[in-house]
Parts: sequence; structure tokens; C-alpha cells
Amino acid sequence: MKICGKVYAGLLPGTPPCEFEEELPDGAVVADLLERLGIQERIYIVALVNGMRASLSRPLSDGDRLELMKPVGGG
Amino acid sequence: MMSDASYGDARWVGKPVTRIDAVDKATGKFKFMSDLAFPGMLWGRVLRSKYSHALIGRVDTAKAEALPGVRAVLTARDVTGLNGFGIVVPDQPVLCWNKVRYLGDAVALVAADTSEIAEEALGLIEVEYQPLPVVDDPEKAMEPDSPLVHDGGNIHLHTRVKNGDVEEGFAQADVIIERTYYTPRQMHSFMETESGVGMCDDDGSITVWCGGQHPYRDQLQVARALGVSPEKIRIIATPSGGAFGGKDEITLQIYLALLARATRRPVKMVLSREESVVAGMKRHPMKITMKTGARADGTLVAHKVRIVADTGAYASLGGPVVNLAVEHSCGVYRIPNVELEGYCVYTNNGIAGAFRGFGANQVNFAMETQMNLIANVLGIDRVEIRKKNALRGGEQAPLGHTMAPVVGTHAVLSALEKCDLWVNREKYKACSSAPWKVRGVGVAVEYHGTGLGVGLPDYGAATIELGPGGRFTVGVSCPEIGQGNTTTYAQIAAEALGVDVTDIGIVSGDTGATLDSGSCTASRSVYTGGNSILRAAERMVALLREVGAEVLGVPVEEVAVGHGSVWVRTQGTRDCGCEGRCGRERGSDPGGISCGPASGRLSFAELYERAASWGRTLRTEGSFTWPTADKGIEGAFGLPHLINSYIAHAALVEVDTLTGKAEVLKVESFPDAGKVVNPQGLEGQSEGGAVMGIGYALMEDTIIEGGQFKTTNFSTYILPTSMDSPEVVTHIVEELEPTGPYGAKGIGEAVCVPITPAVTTAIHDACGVTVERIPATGERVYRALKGL
Repeated sequence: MKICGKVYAGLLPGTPPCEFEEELPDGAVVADLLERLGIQERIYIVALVNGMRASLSRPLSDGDRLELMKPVGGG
Repeated sequence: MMSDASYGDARWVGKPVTRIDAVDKATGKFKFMSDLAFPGMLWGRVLRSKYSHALIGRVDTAKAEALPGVRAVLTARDVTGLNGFGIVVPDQPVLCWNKVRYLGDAVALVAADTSEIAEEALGLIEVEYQPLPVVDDPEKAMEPDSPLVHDGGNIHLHTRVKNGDVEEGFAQADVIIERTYYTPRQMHSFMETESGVGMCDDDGSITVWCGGQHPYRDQLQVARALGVSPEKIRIIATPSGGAFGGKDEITLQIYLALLARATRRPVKMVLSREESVVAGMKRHPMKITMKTGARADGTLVAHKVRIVADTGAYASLGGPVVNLAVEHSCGVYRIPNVELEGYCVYTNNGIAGAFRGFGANQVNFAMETQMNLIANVLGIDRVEIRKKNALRGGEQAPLGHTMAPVVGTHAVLSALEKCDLWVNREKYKACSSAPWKVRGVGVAVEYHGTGLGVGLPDYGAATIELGPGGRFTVGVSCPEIGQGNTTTYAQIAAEALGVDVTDIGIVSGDTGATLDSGSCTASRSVYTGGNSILRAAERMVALLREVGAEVLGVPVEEVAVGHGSVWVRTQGTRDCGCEGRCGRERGSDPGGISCGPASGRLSFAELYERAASWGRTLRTEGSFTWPTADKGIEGAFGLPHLINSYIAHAALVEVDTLTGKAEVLKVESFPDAGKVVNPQGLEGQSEGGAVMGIGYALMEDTIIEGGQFKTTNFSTYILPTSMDSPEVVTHIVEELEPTGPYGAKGIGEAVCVPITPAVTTAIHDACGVTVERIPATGERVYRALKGL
């Protein structure tokens, strides 16, 4: 299945925010995508699947779009 | 007091619905975190640092552990994950092991059978300290030879934004005003101090009840410190007896989880006010130098700003606070040439972080004072000069981005200039209460960025589930921190689902029962939660129609939803588009409109029962992501904001020339929050915000000298009381936000911002003293009056 999305700053040290498109096997979960992208963080990370927050064990589906980022705050 | 409220045609949105928690809170039935109790519960305490800056040597807990009734004593070696927390940078130790950087630093934790035993145990823990030089001046902290608070240097963040040619702009100016302003370390002063309970299940899963502002992020921070999967941690952050930004960062959550895991018993912690003052966040004190140039007709042409913020020992949200201060340092104005920079600096002066207004309060005080000075020098009306320079929708802002199409600045200023206080200001000023007292009227205006800005997706989500009796449960993780967002959520859901507001139940702030809606900060709760609820409600209506069609045995297209039921539309008729809300009975309209109940009707309660008998849950989800500005600002993460709330304040102040004491007699407030979902809620926000801004202007300051707190309770930290609270008249200005739920947007922060310069410039109007340092205490005003 084909998964696309964006990795935001801070998750891949020294790498600016970047779009990605990956081919993953059926049954892959969010954590598998992190592995594929070389993202080490497994706890302090936010994954949005199609705009909605998802756990790292969430199964992915063909065509899903993910946003991967560190938690932030603001005012 | 509310004037000219607009209720519109909606059934629930725009109506002063009584808060859903009002009765329980008024009768004392409501349980806050500090009221929680569980069988076998222990009491937890924190050993805080003895010094504001020191190295740690040996930590000996043997005597404390031997004390009868003590169940656990934890130190840094018991932090099994990352020994650090912090929303952006985890630079604050959970438990310090080699160094302390402020008096609130935690060195050890104790859990005991009683609070008294835990207190005694703290005194038995032996810690060897080697004191270090205290860094207490942010300007000196930036010098190369300053002692370091952190090894990486004392400047946590430096942001610089340039647009146009500021020197060329000043060359065009007929008047240039340059001043330096100083703002205090305001305290959140929430009614309920940091409190909560931790509990650990047999399988190691941990539940933490602790008032907070972003339970899903707290979950990640707790998991990171414990070194466990976030799925093992449940955070329940609602309710909270006030927060104002002071519970945005981790407070007790990690301590509660550690102690619960160590003892396998429920552990409760409640900070005393003194401990809360020392350990907790404050508003960043700032030194702000502004140089502003204008032409003779009042047109602003150049603006140069330097901000130095004291973030104390740890970063928390100091970086974003300073960035937002930079963003708001140009006020609401069109300025073609700007040079803005902000420094966020580490010291040993407590810790500073998020606080209602988030950096805007400080710079708004400075910028609005500048505008008054320019108006006075040029002899231009103070409202007129603001209107002349105020940005309009679609214009380019000083930071280079394009303003959203709807900008409320002109609307709030136009409303203000027609108000009683402004129109009759000379009459008000002429009738002081004593010959030695003088009166003045001040005005100020602000736009306040809402949401997190442009840097990352700002997301939210909501769930709706149909339950017994046809009641809906709406889930949003943004906690209720006292501002009434759960009531607003109920109104939005009731409106969208076409049911009574009493048919809506709200679950909030619970990672075990809601989807992640982000933080209850940044004036984002109503906008994010409301938009998410609308999307979930749209799906719920479709689901009810679909299930109704299945039960009633008709095509989906023939099913209508509304009035707490689904029904079959009469053949050959049409509905009026009201989804059954108008109550028009079948056959009552010669045009063939049929909206009311017909044969084949099923109440939501019956629909729930039918679905339940099939083992089916009727539940929907909705999500929402904020729109963002068309461009980011290089080097300023999270800037700019696209959707703003707008507000103007007018204040009448009387100054006692014998003592210098200023008293605020009347405030008129003009908030533009888009569509006001609950006028009663807005009125509460407006009045509370005004009083908070008055306290900031005239009396509040957490004084720290040499790293030592001098104001550790309300006996020395002076807050406004009801005796200091003036009449506040709130005038709703509704410039509907096209992307907001029913046109709504946030207002929780802006209500406390321009009131401060409205008050301080009223002092100037009264007695000629330009307030450059707040709080404008009686002593300061008196000394300025006497030229001392």
C-alpha cells in the first residue's frame, strides 16, 4: 500500500520538514512507517492519520496521509 | 453587565445557557482534583531545592525510608525513563541529580500514610549542596562571562524579524518616540493549586488525575519519564480549579505516576500555596525597548523593538512566548518598516511559561503606550490615530503575511468611540471624588492570535455517541479549566443535532475516553472543539438517518432527522430545510411542506434501544485542522497566526495625588470573538479578564531577589479583590469568523490584554505620569508625580 505525508522539524535531526511517499506491506502500522523513515522517537511523537491523532500501533490503509511531529504548545 | 447582546435565531448558539456545572459548583457537590479520595490512599510530597543555584553531591534517604509510615522515597535513580520534561525542550529534571537551578527544583519524592509523616520524612533526607553564583539579571546573563544556568548557554532563543528598511522609515518620520518598558512576574493565582492522584493497576497501567491543559501531551511526557508506552498511561485532566496557562506544562503528573508505580497504592498530592508559588510558572518579566516613528499626520512609518524575557531556570514554553511577543509587538497596526527581536534568557529566577495572553500582554502595554505618546505629541485623537493605522482584512501585516479576510479592529474601535465613557470622558474626568484626586480615561486595542500558528498542523477531534434515553455523549479532550468550554460544546452539539441542550453530556480531558483535541490553550478550545463537534454531528445525523431508514424500512432519502427523532417524510411533500426544528405539522402548509412528525416516527431513545439490541453502537468521530497563514516567518517557529480575536478597552481611572494610588472606576470592553456561543460565558471571561489585567497594571508582581522569593503567598502577593473590581460593561462586537463553528472564535486571552495599557494610559491622562514600569503601584506613581 502507498502511504504519503510529511515529517515536521525535529524528528529527523538535521533534516528540514519534508514530504514523503512510501510503499508499505499490508498490515503495516504507524510504527513500521517510523522505522522505514528512520525516525527513532517512539514515545514523544504525534502521528496524525488523515488529520486525526493515532497511536503507533494503528494499522495503516492504502492512501492514508500522515503528519509526523513533536508535540508542541503555544498561545 | 452586558449590553447589546445578540441572540440571533438559533435555538442554542448565542443564548445565555446556564453552565452545565453551575449547580454542582454552587452547591459544593462538584469534586475537584484536591477533593479526590481512594481507599488505601497515600500522601505524596516533594523535596524542593534549598538553593536557587547549586551543585548536588550526596543524597541520603536512609533516615527518611526508616521512618514508620513512609512507603517510598524516590530520587533521580528511580526515574526509569528520560529524567527531564518540558513541552519543547526537556531541560527540567524530573528529579535533580547533579544540579539545581531554582528553589522549586525537585530533588526527592516521598509517599507516606499521612501528609504529616511525608512532611517529616522530607526533613530527614540529607542533600549535600555546593552553592553556585546566582544568575538573576537576564541582561547580565547574556554577557559572555556570566555563570551558566545551562551548559549550552543562557540564551534559550533569539528571534529576529525584519521587514522593509527601518532606518529609511525613521528618516521619513516627523516624530520618533523611544522608551524602555518593564513588566512584572505575574502569578496565575488559580484557586486550586496543583493537585491530583496517581494510581497503578496490577498490570502496570497508570491513571493520573491531575488538572492540566493538554492531557494527551501530558500522557507522552509521563510515558517518556517512566520509559513506558503511552498506552500504559491514562491522564484525566478535567476538572481544574483554574489554570490560565499555569497548568499547561507538567506539574505533578510525573511525580504521581512514579509514586503510584513504586507503592502500588493511590497517591495524592496537593501543593500548598507557598509551594505552588515557588515551584510554579509565572508570566515572563520583560524589558522592552521600542522606537516608533510616525509622520505628522499620525501614519506609522517605522518600528524597532528589542525584547528581553526572563524565562527563569527552564525553557518550557518560553521560546514560543517570546515569539508571540515579537509577533504582537507591532500591535494592530500597519507599519512598513520594522526590525523586531526577542531574547528568551535563562536565569535562576523561578520559572516562567505559558500565561493567558502568552507574551502579548507585555508588548501590548508597551506598544499602546507608544501610540498614546505619539498621539499626544501630534495632537491627534487617541482613537483616531489607532483607526488610521489599523490593518484591514487582506492587507500585508508587518511580519510579511497577509491578514485574514475578516479583521475586527475597526469594528471594536468604532464601537468604543461611541461608548458612554469615551463620548462623555470630559464629564467623567471633571467629577473626581476629592479635590486631591484626578481622573483620566485611557483606551487601548489588541488583536490576539489564536491557535498554535503556522508551524505545525493544529488539530482537533470529537466523538458523539447516542446513549440510553436518546441522550448524546460528546467527547473532546480539551479540558474544562473553569472557562465554561464544556457548556459551549453542549450548545454547539445541541444546535447541530437538533436536540435540547440537556440531552447532551460532555466528557472532556480524559485520554481514556476522548480523542486527542490538542490543548486548552491559545484561545483555541471553542474553535477547535466546536469545529470537530460539528463534523462529528454531521456524521451522526447521517448515521441516524441511515439506521432510521433500516428500522423504518424506507429508503434513506425519505428519512428526516430532528426534534429528537427520525421519521418518514410524507410522499409528495418536501421539507423546508429546517431538519424538523420548525415543528410545522404535516398538512399545515398548503405548499406541501412537511417537517413535523408523520407516521413512521422513531425517537432517538427508541433508535438507541433498537441499535443496542443489534449490538450496534451509534458513534461518530469528527476531526478538524486549522487553516494557517500563507507564509511562515523564517526563524520564528509558529508565526504568524492567521485567525485573531480583537478587543478594545476604555478605562476610567482616578489617581490620588497624595499617595499615588490609582483606582479603576469603570471599564468598557469591546471583544470581537466572532459569533458568541454563550453571552453569559463571554461576560464572565470579559469581567474576569479585565480584573486580571487591572491587577497586572496596578499591583501584581512575584518579587524574586537573588533567586529568593519575597512574595510567597497572598499576604504579600497583592491581587485585586472585589473591592478593586470596577463596573465592567461588555459590548459584544460580532465579526463572524467564516471558518469558525457558527462563526465563533476564541476570546479567552484577549480579554485581559489591552485593559492594562488602557489603565496605565488613563493614569497619564489623569496626572501626566507616563507609566513605563508596571505594576503602577502607588509608590511608583507618587515618585513620578514628585519627580523623585
